[in-house]
Amino acid sequence: MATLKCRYKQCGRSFPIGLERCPHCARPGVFSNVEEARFNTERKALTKRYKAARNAAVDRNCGDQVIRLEEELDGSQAVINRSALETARLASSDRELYSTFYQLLNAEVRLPAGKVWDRLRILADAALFPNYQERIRFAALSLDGVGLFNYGDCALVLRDSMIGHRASVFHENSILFLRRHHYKIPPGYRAVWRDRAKLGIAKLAVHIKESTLAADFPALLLRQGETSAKDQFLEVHVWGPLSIYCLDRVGISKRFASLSPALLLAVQELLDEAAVKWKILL
Amino acid sequence: MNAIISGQAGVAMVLDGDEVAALRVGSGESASTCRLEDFAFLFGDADDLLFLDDVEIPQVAERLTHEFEKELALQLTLVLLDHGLSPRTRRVAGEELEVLFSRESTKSFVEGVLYARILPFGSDLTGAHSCIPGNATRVNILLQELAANQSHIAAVQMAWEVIPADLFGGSMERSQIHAAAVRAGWFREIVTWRSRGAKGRPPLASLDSPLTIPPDVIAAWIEELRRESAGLDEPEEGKSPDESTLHLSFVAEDTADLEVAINLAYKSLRELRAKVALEPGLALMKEQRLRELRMLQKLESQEIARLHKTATSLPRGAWEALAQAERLLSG
Repeated sequence: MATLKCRYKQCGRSFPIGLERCPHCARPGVFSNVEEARFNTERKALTKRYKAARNAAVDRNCGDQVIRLEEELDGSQAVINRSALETARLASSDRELYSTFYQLLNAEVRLPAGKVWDRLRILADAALFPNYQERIRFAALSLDGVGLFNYGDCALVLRDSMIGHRASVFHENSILFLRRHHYKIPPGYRAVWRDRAKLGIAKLAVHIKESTLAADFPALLLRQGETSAKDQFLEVHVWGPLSIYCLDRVGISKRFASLSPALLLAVQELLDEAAVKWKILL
Repeated sequence: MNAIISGQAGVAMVLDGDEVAALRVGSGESASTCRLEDFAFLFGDADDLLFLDDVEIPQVAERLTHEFEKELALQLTLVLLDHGLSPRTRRVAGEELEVLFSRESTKSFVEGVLYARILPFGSDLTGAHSCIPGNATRVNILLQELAANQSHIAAVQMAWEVIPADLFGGSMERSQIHAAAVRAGWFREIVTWRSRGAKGRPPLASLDSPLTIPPDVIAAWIEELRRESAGLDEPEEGKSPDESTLHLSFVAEDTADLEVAINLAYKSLRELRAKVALEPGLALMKEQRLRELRMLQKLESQEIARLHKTATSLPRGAWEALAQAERLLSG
C-alpha cells in the first residue's frame, strides 16, 4: 500500500494514503492528492516534460507566446459546473434552516449489485485516489471563469485562497487517462496547485503557433465540446467539502431561469448576501 | 437499458450496452452522448442517485422530471420558510410550489422530509403564510399542518434518536437507514399515526433503496413511541399543577425538593406550550421538559412508595430522626 510521510520533522513517520491527519502525532491538514503530486518523482518528471515542451516551442519560434501562456496559467482558476439545485444547496448550506433538512437526506451512495453496475464500481475504485475517492471534488482549470456547461447550468469559480492548499491538477479527465494507461499512472502528469502553469505548458505548448494570440488561450485550455465526450480540459482535484465561502464568482446559464425563476431569485439573494458576484451568461 | 437518475443534479445517465448518454431535465427525451467517465462531473455531490434496470428513454425522462420536481419543491419550501429572504422571492417560491404540489407525491416527499425534524432556528411560518398568495391552497394547508404537528414531530424525532445504535449495525448504517426512511416518508407516516392516537401499527411504505432495515429498528421505534404515549399524560390545560401532585404528597415531607422541581417543570411546560404556537422550534425543548417532568414524577412515586414502606415499620418520630441523621451525615 502506498504511504505518505508526516511532514512535521519531529514526527516524520509513515502512514497510509487517504488519512486526513497523521495517525502518530495527530497533526491535521494532510491532503493526499496534494501529497502525491508533491512526490519527488512526480515533480522531477513534470519539470522534464515542461522543459521539453517549452524548448520545442522555442525551436518553433513560439517562445514568447509560451511565456505569455504560462503567465496566464499562473492566474487560472478552478471551475466546477453544478446544476441549479446543487448550486442552491451550496448557496444556502450556511443557514441552519436548510442544512438541518439537507443533512436528513445525506447518505453515502451505494451501488446496487449486478453486472451492469460493475463498470461503475471499477470507476469508483480507480487507482488515482486509493482510499479517498469520495473526498475529491472534480473541477476544470479555466482562464475566463467559463466551465463545462455540459455538466451543469452554473459555473462556480473557486477562490484560490480556499482551495489552493488542498487542490492538485491533472493532465486531463483522470479516469480516461487511467484507462488509456492501463491504470498505471506515469509520473509527471499531475501537479500541486502552484505548479499548474507548468503542467499546462507541458500539455498545451505543442498547440502554440506563431499566430496564436492571448485571446486564444482560454479556448486552448478548456475546449467545450458539443457533448461532454468532446470536452478537453485540465482536471482539478479538490480535497474536501465546499461551502459558499469557497466561491469567487458564479456564472449562471439562461436555462436556470427557465427551470425555476423562484430558485434563481433565491440563489441570487443568497450569493449577494455572501458577497459572491454572479452574472447570467449569454 | 439501465439508468442512473438524480433530481438534485437534474440529469440521468443512460447505459445501453457500451453506449452512454445523458438526459438533462427540461430537455425532454433528447439525450446527448457522453462517457461513463463523466460520472463524477455529471452527478457531483448529489446524494439522491437512483439506479434503474430495464428502462426505456421515455420512462427515464419522466422519472427524471419527477425527481427534479421533488427536490425543487423541497428547496422552494425552505426558501418560503426562510425569514432572511425577501418577501418577493418567497412569494414567487409560494406560487411555484402551488403548481408543483398539484402532484401529490411531490407534496408527500416534501412533507416526508419536513416531518423528520422540528423546524430549526430561522424558520418563519408566520412570514411564510403572509407571503403566499391567497389562492395557494395546497401550500397553505402544508404550512398549517406543519405547524400543528411540531410536537408530534419532536416526539417521533426523539423516539428515533433513542433507538440503540447496535440495532442498526453501526453509525454509518444508522445514517443510511435514516436517510432512506426520510425519503420514503416514514417519519410523516409515524407523525400522522401518533397524532391519531398511536393505535395499531403505522402504515410504512417500502423503502426505495437497496438497504435492508433490521425489523428490530422499526419495532424499537414504535415501542418507544407507545411507551411514551402510555406514560404519564401532560397536565390538562388550566389545571393547577398542585392538584395533580397533591394526592402524592401526603407522606412526602422529604420529597419536598422533588415537588419543587415538579412544580417548576409544570410551570416551564405550560409556558413552553404557549410559546410553541408562535415559535415551532421550541417543540423539541417542550418534549424534553415533558420527559423531565415524567422522570421526576416517577422518582417521586418511587420515593413515596419507599416512604410508605418505611412509614409502616417505623414510628413517625423515628423516621424524622433518621432523616435528620441522613442530612447530618451527607452534610
